[in-house]
Amino acid sequence: MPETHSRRGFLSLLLAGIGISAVPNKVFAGSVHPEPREGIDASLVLPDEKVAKFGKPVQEIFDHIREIPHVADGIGCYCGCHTREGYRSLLTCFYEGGRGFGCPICQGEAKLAYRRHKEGQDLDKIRRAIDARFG
Amino acid sequence: MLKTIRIATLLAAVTLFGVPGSQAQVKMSPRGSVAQVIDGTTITVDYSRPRLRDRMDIFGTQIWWGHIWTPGADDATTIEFDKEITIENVAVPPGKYSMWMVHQKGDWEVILDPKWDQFHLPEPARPDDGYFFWVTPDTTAPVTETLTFDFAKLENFGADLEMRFANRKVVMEVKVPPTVDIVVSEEVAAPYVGTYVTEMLPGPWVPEGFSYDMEIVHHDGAFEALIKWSKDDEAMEQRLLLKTDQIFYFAFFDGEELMGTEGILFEFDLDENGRAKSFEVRTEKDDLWIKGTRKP
Repeated sequence: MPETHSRRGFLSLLLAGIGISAVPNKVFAGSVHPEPREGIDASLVLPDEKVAKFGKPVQEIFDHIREIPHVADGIGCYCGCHTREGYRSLLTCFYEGGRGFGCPICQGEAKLAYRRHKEGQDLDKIRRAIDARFG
Repeated sequence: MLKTIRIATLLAAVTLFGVPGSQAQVKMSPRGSVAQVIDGTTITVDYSRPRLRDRMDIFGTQIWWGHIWTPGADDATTIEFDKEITIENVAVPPGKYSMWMVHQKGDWEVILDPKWDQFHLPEPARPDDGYFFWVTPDTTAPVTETLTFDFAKLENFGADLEMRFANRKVVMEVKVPPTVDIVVSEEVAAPYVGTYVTEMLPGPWVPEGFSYDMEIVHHDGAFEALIKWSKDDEAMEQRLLLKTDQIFYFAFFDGEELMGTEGILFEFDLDENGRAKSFEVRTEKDDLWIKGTRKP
């Protein structure tokens, strides 16, 4: 382990090594989580043949979103998607015109939401975890 | 006489209808704005920026004593915020307000009026539903040619909002509701106290299989992680603050003053008795980075 005499120096070194920004970027003040639409499904999520070119990790994220449209539609996205026409929720980040294919925040939120949903956590708790990580 | 009437008519028409294609004209007091996010609260000041133009005695002559003046020109200066804040210890609900200053010798009264869409003239009536506080203008400030607002002396949970024009400087202390509680109670900390065997994902600085002990302790309201990279090392102390639910994050203090927080979140998992059995730290992409398991 490299010697570091400052806590902050050490943490910054670790963060740089793993590629995490030490400063959370807040795109807008406060989270805006919409209510999921009744009967929402994943029919508008980009199909696999359109995301295959982005590689397996991205394909997996899209697969996850297709499994949980009712959860994703109740989560807001912190990456700035809210300024994009057609945006409504994290779910729509994975529609045609969304940034889910390449945005690390859309993808990070999707993975967190999927993991916590599979662990049995409710939407409110998932929202709070997303606010904590990305807000 | 006819020439005078024509000129007057032309001026009236310009005043009422503007000059065709005048959207990009050079204005006497162009509009400006300044915004600041302070711990999640966004505060925006929107104002016109008059210039002195050699009018060094502007306060007392054109901005006469006792005048209810909007610090700006044309449309009233507005201030808007999305959470309740305090200005000079006066709590003001979130919203948009026009700002006025009662300019006089000695202290000035500042008025925030919920009726924000006003012109600088005529002087507005004193609002029944306004917010009022007093400031002591610095009358010896360096001359500021163009009226300027900015957020000086930025701190974690507040800032000084300054207005400067001519040789006057007005400072308004703004405070926002903190989103962070720097005291972690013993009750909150209890489920997490203990020693965890911690493993880090191999990386440029971290060899395969690297693990260390992290002891979580609580004393005097401070919740800390004591990290020992090896059994011979002195423990590195790092304070943790509660973010939400079972999620804590690193915080840096100078004494008891919170300097800032880092985006390293410790997400704890509890057993059936509500006691933390493990934690994870994940990257922004939700990939596992650090995992800790409580030592029996």
